[in-house]
Amino acid sequence: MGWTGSVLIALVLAIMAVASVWYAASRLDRMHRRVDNAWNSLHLQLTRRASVALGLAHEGLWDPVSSMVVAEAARASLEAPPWGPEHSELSAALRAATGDRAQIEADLRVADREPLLRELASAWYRAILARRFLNEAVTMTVRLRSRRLVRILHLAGRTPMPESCDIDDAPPDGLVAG
Amino acid sequence: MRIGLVCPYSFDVPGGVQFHIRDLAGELIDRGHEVSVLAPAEDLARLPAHVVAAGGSVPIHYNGSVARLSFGPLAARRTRRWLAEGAFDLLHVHEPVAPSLSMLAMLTASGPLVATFHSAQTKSRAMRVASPLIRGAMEKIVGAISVSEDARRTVMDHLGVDSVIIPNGVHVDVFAQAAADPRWRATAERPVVAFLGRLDEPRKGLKVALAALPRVRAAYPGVRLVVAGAGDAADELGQLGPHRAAVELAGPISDAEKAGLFKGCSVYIAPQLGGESFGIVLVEAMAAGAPVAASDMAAFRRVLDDGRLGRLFRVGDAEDLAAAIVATMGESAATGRQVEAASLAVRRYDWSTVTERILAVYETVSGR
Repeated sequence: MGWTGSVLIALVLAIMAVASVWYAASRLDRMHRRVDNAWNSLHLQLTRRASVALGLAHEGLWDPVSSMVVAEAARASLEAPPWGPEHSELSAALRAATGDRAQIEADLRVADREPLLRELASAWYRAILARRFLNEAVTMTVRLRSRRLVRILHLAGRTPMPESCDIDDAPPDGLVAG
Repeated sequence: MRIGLVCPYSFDVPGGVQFHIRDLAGELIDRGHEVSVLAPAEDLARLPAHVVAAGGSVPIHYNGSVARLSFGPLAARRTRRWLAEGAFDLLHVHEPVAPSLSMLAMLTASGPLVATFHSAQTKSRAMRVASPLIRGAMEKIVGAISVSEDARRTVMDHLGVDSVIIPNGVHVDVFAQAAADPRWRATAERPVVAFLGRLDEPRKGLKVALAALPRVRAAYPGVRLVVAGAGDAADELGQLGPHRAAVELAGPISDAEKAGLFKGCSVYIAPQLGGESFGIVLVEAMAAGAPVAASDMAAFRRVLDDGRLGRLFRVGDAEDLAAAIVATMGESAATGRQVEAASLAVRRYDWSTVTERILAVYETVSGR
């Protein structure tokens, strides 16, 4: 094989190497953007859930004590970042206020309570979805960043390693059907 | 919202995924969304206005049956054009790992992407072949949906992707309020056992149903086995001998006829041998108030709540199927309780609930 052949092979290998690095970098970039978007979406849905909860507290869906506790927790949730413990506290307050499965099923049969509870269920389901989609994106990104090519070439740059969101968003039993 | 739906399988032939997409598009349009469906199709005259045909399809063995899929440069070009012209707020592809339009759309798409996994049997060999490219495409799925727990586990095992479960939808009230079709209405002397599914697709289990027939006839000499579905089963039917007289071929039936059959039958049987991830027909039969007996496989066991909502028999076991049919028709009090519980349980599969959940995914994914 002459030197032109060797150069040609080297050139092809170099192009392939560059292409695979470019492909890995673009995938990583897309995943980082997906994680950012997922945090924004989670923030939006948690804000909505807190607004609905605050509204329900003022509508008199619950007894005055429960309403006060929920309203306070909802205000804190509205001001908290999406990873804050305030959302878990709102979840706990709402679970206590809405009661057990029997209570929720009874309330769903009362004409002026049913739409309010449905509104809460709907907002809560979206918050659950948003957190699951975020954590899935985080898992994929971490997996991608653990690849040798990504680590050796520092393809992630200075973007911090994404972390999953571990707030407690377990809904009251019987509110959001599984 | 402007929503693009991609169907991998040809709209020219009936199928669970096609029906799901057709009905979902209808529900979304009813709620005021703009919807366009991209699907393989050649018979353009029968397509609704919102379905865009991506051209012809090729029969491919996939997931234990023959699927009609579109691929190749023409399909790729049409997919790119549909995406460009659609300018969708959200793209929803179905069965994304099938080598099809869904995958073509995923490779091209840049906006928010939702994907629904229908199958519980993913071809991992095909996935390993194209692995790096497919992995890149999978990372574009912001909201992954599985139609059942079984489908979710398959996706988790093969692709390492977690998904939320939203079942397939059924128009529960249409089935609940249907009138029994006089052609197939059961009487005390002539009970009706209903079977639905392609006759020439072994995994639908027609063979098991036919093998169970002699035992059922011993207990109920007037029993009629009504077999609805396309395909040819002359060989199997020829081997039945004197029992052939009890089998009635209804051919392919419409949705309305299906509801009428369920409404009047004594029992609907689902003797599938495998490859089922959900069991939509089972839910439809339950919605119509038909007693049901189904193969004891994970997907059906879940739909029947471990036998609380209908009887389960060992997969592929004709003797056990015959016993289940005889028990369903003989033990009327127990069967009545199952039917009553089933009519409540199927509400979670109603399109009103299912559409609300899918829209929740759309809104979460698109950040609305």
